[in-house]
Amino acid sequence: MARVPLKGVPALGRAALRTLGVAGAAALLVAALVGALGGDPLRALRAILGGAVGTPAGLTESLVKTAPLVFTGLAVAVAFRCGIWNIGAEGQFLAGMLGSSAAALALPPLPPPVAVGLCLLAGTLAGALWAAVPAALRLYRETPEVISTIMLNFLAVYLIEYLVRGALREPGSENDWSPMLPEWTRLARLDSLFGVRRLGGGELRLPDGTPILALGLDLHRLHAGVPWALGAALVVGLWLARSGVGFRMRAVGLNAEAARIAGVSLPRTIATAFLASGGLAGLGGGIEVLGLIQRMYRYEPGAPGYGFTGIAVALLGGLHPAGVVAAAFFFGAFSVGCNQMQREAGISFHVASIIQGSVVLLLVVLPRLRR
Amino acid sequence: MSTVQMRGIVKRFGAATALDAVDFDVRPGEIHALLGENGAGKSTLMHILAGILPPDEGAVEIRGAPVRFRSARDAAAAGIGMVHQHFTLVENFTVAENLALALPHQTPFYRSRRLAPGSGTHAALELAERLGWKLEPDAPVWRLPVGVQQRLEIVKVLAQSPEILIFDEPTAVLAPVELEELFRVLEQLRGEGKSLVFISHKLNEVLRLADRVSVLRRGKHAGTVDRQATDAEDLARRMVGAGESHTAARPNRAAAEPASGEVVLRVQDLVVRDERKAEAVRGLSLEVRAGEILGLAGVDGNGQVELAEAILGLRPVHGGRVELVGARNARRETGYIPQDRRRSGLATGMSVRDNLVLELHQEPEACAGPWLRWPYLNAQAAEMRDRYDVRADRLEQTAATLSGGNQQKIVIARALHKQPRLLVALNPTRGVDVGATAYVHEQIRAQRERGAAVLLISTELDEVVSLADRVGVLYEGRLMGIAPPDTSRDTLGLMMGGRTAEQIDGARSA
Repeated sequence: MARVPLKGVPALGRAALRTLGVAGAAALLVAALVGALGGDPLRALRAILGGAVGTPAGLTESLVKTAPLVFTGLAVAVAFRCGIWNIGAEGQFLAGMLGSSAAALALPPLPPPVAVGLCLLAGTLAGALWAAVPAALRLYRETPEVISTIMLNFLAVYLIEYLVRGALREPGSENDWSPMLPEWTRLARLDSLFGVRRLGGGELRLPDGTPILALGLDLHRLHAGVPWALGAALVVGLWLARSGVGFRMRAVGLNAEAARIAGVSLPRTIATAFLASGGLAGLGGGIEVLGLIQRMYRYEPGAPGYGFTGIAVALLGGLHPAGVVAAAFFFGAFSVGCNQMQREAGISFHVASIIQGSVVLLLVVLPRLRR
Repeated sequence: MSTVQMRGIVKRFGAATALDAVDFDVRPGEIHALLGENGAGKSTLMHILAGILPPDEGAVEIRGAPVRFRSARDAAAAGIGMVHQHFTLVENFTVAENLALALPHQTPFYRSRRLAPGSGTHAALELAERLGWKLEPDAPVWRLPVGVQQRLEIVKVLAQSPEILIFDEPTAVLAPVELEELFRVLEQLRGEGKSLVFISHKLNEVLRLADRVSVLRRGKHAGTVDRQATDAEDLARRMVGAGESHTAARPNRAAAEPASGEVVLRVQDLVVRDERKAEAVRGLSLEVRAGEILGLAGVDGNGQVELAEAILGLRPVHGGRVELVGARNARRETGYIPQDRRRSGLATGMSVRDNLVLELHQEPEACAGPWLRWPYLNAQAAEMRDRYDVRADRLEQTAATLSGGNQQKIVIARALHKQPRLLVALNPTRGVDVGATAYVHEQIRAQRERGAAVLLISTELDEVVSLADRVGVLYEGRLMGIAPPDTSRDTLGLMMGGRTAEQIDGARSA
């Protein structure tokens, strides 16, 4: 069975430098692809940068996209650090969305903090449950989790489809979706917490008028999931570095046999890592649905894709929680920037997808090539 | 004339000389046994013959013609086939598919064509039948018992009609019934005029089967003798060497008697299974007292790992019992030096500190709820580094940056820091340099002086004899007897080859 490459997990500084380095490489690739397709490379790059971080609206949108990626990135990083190939963050994320929505629709009216807490707990447990299946298969039947976690992604997709066409379907609606989640289960938006709709404003522009850096945020669009994500990264970072279980997980990831000989219980440690990984992805799903989407839709396999991108996020972030946050922001901002490029530089949706995919591939492969 | 003639073969791995001017030959229609302890160079010599390794010096002749193999394919073309100790089968494939994969001009597709009369696979299956083996062509290999997998492996090699067949410790994996069957076939092949090399470290098998025996000891040729002209004692002596005196360096102790201390470890009728669910320790009993070192010699693969891990509680016990007398928490009161520090001792990607506290961190005093008390652990790690002389500039540097000797000191520090009542050491100096070896021995002796009970399990007979107060010999998961360390090498060698102490005494008085 292949091992997750863990040797010399880089420190935070190296991860940050690496992110910058690959950002440059990504820019070159985008320019080359756009140029090859007959577009204007400079205009495309400006559109990406401006769209992603140039305006308060863009920067806010990038942060909104960052939050779920932080959770799935953390989920994958926790598993990989313990030597577990969890390719199922996607399914665990969906399970979390489903768990939180089901709880939100089932709960009686409650004070919002209680209701939101319970719904997020349900999402976390649903994600952990989704990871408990491959954990049990690995521990009792020696089934490789690469296979089982991938398969469970599809199960999550079709379970959701089954439910939004059946038990969870909005009564009387023409669409296959659930009812809107009740008001009291929705995650607060930051303007309600801060009391202002906007924080700062304006933007830095190039002499030609291209916006390159926003100086403010649109708090009305920003939900509490963003600070939740940062908090989760902090907790996971402390947990990995300072707790007994975190220590054992890292030891098992680096040399399971030596850990076993030293008296570490492999089944218990591996099970914990699976559950923590699934729980993090599930919490991310719950936050996404309570904070942003607010009802359950059907998804095609592979959508929304946060779980899969989470793998790239975790690897680019060096499996380090701080690195994961940086990488998640990078991926989130890049996807927002690509939307802008589509609109501004007249590049079609499909081409933008190709560019986005190529850059993800480059980003994940590049750091590995250098070793 | 000999089929194979190897002259002056030298093979070095880095600074170590694995084979030192070894001569070897095989005649047609004979079974030539190659005998020696672990690391004596048996497999290396045969890998050279089979084209897997190139020799550094020396010449190989097949039927009088000099050859220089560049690959195993070259050797196969010259009529040499090797049955490896670890099978080269695709477990998910069927018997026929595995045969098709190994034979030239075979398509692994289309079952009907594969099994058609006249095909190589068909011929191979017929060959198996001639040997008295019925191989089910459609049975997936993973479902077959190990003995049958070996038959398939042998048929695979035989199908290429080799004249010279090498069997690398073929009996290691077999049950007694399967053993007889294998021997019958080896004798049949000899009758057909093939040249057979049989690698083994088991005296009984060699004496039973071989026409001639060549013995290797630490890479040197320790003689080739006719079966008729030798016996177990002679072979054992050649295998382990005439007892150079190791007793000089020993402190004066009444060697044969058990130490007077309390019994610390008591093992009774212990049965332990290996990963394949086969019994690796088969009803073994022993006692270790405070203030003594009980050494267990024996060739690798005779239950050493399983015994050590069962005592540590790292492996389930299937029968009998292990008792650390009067212990409240056996694991905390037992120190363990595992073999192979890179695989079992250290997580080299973690820091020196993390490796030092790998056991300690689960102790109650190291924990505050789910969190670790890092100030405490840092202090402990610093103390361990200083006391056991781990040469690391910073505790935060990764263990991979340390030399092998310093890595081994981390393992030692972890085992000894808790002042264990029982120390179990399994091949504690394998793969460490001379200086570090002396250090490890010194630490083990110090544990005895401190009053700990020490169980030293090692395949290095010299190490066992020079450190232990009593020497036991492990063979196929059983204890062949316990003897004083000044027992003659011949006797210990016989025990390592599977004779019990009583059998040896009986044979001598007769």
